[in-house]
Amino acid sequence: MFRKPDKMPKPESLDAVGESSVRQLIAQGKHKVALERAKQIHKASASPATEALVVDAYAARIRALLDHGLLVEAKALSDLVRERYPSAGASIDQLRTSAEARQGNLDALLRPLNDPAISLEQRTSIEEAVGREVTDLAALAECPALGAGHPLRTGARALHKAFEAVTSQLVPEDALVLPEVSRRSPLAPWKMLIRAIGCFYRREDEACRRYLEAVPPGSAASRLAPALLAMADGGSRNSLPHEAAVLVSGVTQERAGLRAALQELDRAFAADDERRILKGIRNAAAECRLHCPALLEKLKGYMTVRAVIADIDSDHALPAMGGHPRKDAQFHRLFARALEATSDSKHYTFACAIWAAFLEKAKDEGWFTGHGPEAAMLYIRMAELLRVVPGHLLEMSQASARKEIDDPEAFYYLYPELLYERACAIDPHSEHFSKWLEWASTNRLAASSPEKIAEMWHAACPQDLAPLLHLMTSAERRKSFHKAIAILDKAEAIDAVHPAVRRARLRLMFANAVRQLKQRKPRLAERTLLVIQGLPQVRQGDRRAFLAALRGICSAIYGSTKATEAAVEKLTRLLDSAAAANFVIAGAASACNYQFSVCSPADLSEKELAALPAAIARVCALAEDIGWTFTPRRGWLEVAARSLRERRLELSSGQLRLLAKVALRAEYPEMAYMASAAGLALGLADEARFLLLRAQALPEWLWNRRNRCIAAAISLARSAKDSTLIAEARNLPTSGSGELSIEPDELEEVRRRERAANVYPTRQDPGPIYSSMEPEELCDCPACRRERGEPVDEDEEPDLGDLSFLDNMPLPEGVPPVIARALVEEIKQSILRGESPDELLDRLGVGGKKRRKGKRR
Amino acid sequence: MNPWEALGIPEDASEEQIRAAYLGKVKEFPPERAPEEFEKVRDAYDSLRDPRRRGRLVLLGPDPTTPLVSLLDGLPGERKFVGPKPWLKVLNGR
Repeated sequence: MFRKPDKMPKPESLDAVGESSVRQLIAQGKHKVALERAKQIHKASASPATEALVVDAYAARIRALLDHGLLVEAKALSDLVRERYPSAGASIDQLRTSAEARQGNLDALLRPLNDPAISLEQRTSIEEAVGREVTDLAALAECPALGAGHPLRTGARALHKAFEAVTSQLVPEDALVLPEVSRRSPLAPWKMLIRAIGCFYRREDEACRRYLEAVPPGSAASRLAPALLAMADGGSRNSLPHEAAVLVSGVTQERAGLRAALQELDRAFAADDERRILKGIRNAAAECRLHCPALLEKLKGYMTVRAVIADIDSDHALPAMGGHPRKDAQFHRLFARALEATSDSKHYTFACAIWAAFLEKAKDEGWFTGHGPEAAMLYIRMAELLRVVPGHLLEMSQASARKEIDDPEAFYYLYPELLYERACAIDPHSEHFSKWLEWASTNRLAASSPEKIAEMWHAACPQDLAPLLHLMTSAERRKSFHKAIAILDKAEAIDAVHPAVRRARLRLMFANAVRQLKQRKPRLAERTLLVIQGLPQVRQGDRRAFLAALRGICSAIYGSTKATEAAVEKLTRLLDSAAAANFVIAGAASACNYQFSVCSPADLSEKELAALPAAIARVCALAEDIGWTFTPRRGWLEVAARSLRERRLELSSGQLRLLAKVALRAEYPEMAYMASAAGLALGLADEARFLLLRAQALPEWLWNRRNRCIAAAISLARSAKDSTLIAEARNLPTSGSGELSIEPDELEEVRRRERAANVYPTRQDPGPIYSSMEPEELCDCPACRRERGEPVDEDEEPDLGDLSFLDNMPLPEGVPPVIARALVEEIKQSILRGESPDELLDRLGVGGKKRRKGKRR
Repeated sequence: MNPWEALGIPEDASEEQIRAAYLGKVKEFPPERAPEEFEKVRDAYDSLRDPRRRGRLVLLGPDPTTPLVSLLDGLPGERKFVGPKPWLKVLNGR
């Protein structure tokens, strides 16, 4: 049974709960509700405590009214409270005085300051009220309650004057020292505010922020801080009170109209609508002139450039924007860049002319001098632009320029050679020479030889390796090995461990020895071979075999059979194969214009025959290493192919690739195909390379399969990030559509079917056919286009490829139908072959007089 | 960021002007007090003091195909003098 406990917890008194809720509401700023609740509590149980609670709620409400600037309402309410609750006297009086002070009636607030006996506490309280409430500096400056020389009046006078000044004109910092207002004065926050406003107008935003931070939060002056910060930072104005938002709008210009006009003009350019563009230009220029005149010239520059690119008649565009833009360096740069951005090489010569004009303007305007690195970079930029222009277009531009003035210097910007030359003369930088050399090496318009440029480069930058390597290779190509070796000496002095330098020494020495043997100068060759023997590089791989081969040839030229036999024996020992020894010495002898042969396929044992593919691959590797082209005779390759086909040889991926390459070089695609099949069987490692070799080995009529193999190789190389292989594949000729993209499932199918296709294709057995993967080529003739529902011009000529119209031609009278059909067939073939009617008639033996040679049109 | 803007100078500023602007900005943003701003200023100065880098930036210039409305971005707002009255209205709350 429920039993009332002996001691129930004492409930909190109603007054305490009510008071706490009222105080909470006041703290939350809900003054009106707090006042109603306090009144109810007081009405329910009136006591001094509840009266004090009501007075506090009233005081909070009056303060809120004051904060909202409702001074009349605040005063009326304080009068009412004073009358109804006499006990509230002091606190309400203070609020009333605050209200008066805000209205500029400062007498009541300030009069006590004239009393010499005023307590420190009261003085402090008044001064705090001044700092918190006084917003009318003029009223304070003229307040009769204080003497004319009172610091508050003199300070307020100075502040008022300064406030009017900073809000009306630019005022320098030193004019805002305001010594009349001390640091401890209740008006000190005003001094900080005025300085902040001064900084804001002088665009010293950082200093403005610092001054605002020094304004105490509760002070009267602090009420301007949010607006000033919004203006300085360009932040949001949404949270500002109405008056502050009005101030911000008034001070900072609104550009909504201009923004809308520019957006519309952007849309018009995107739509490529001339009428709309011209209207947009007119509106944007008018808005800009009105609301942002400082931007007008820049905007006109942009609009002019965009109008030119959009092919708008300048006779219409320029009047719409109110005349030409200022043609300064900025404008020319913008124009040139816009022409570049068209990515149309036809515009590039014009872009170069504009860049040349930019250079002149930039020099005049003091951007840079005409002989500094900036000018050099500009010349290089123009030259690089001209590289993209097709040669015939560039020559046409140069020819038309020459018609005006026959001096290339006047139109230097149309001549890449002059541009590179100027850039390198001004700023002899490796990058500039490199670009010039690259251009001269590949361009037929180059007047200076690449060697001359490389020599200039070497003279300007003696520590650069690139020009020396170029000169060395060039000398090597001309077979000036002495000169090449002399250049190599210089290159070695700069960077002896550079891979190109390291490889070059042995290659050049061997080439020199071969030439000496070719010239039948065995003594000289012997000396060279002795030097080669001393090189550390010669000990790597099979290089000593080539040295032995050259020694053998040297001995043979001397006629020393014994020495020759010794050399061949050494060679065979080094390569561990009579066949390989034969290839090396026969190849070296052939390079020296000498006949030398050790053995033929018939001389080989069964074991050596089995090892023949490996021997060929080994010699191929040696040849690649020392820069010698090795192509064995067809007979040897046929034996090797037989061995490859009939025996299960264990050849590495590298050996198979070398075999495939040498077979392609020897125009023996069947063997290359066989090597690729063996390579594909090895697995994933070099699959892309073998697919590429497979593509090269396929007969031309299998162009579709060939394209698919190339596409698959590219796709696999892309996955392996093998850019060299991708470049190699892209350089191969393709047929048909030339489409080299492949879907993942198609790739898998190509890989699977090519791995399975081990037999060289024939007409009877072509192997995998991928016709479903090749994109369908749509016929472009009018009839087919009409059938597909595509638009066809009625005046369009019939497609010459479609010769069916010949079948419907009326037959000439008296010609038997069989003869007529044969004739029509012959005419069709003739058209497809591209023969002229005369040639057809000549071929049919019905032509008239034969034309003389050289007279045929 | 545009290095000329970072240093508060025009694009045709001479080397002396670039250096003077840099020193001014270093005083405004000393590395020990404003390391991030100093970093930006330093980067801008490094871009402009090397003539080749400066040349590359000069040739790069603004993008001519940029939307025209973007010309308003970063444009310093006008600061009109409106006299004391609108300011006082904010102070008086009316």
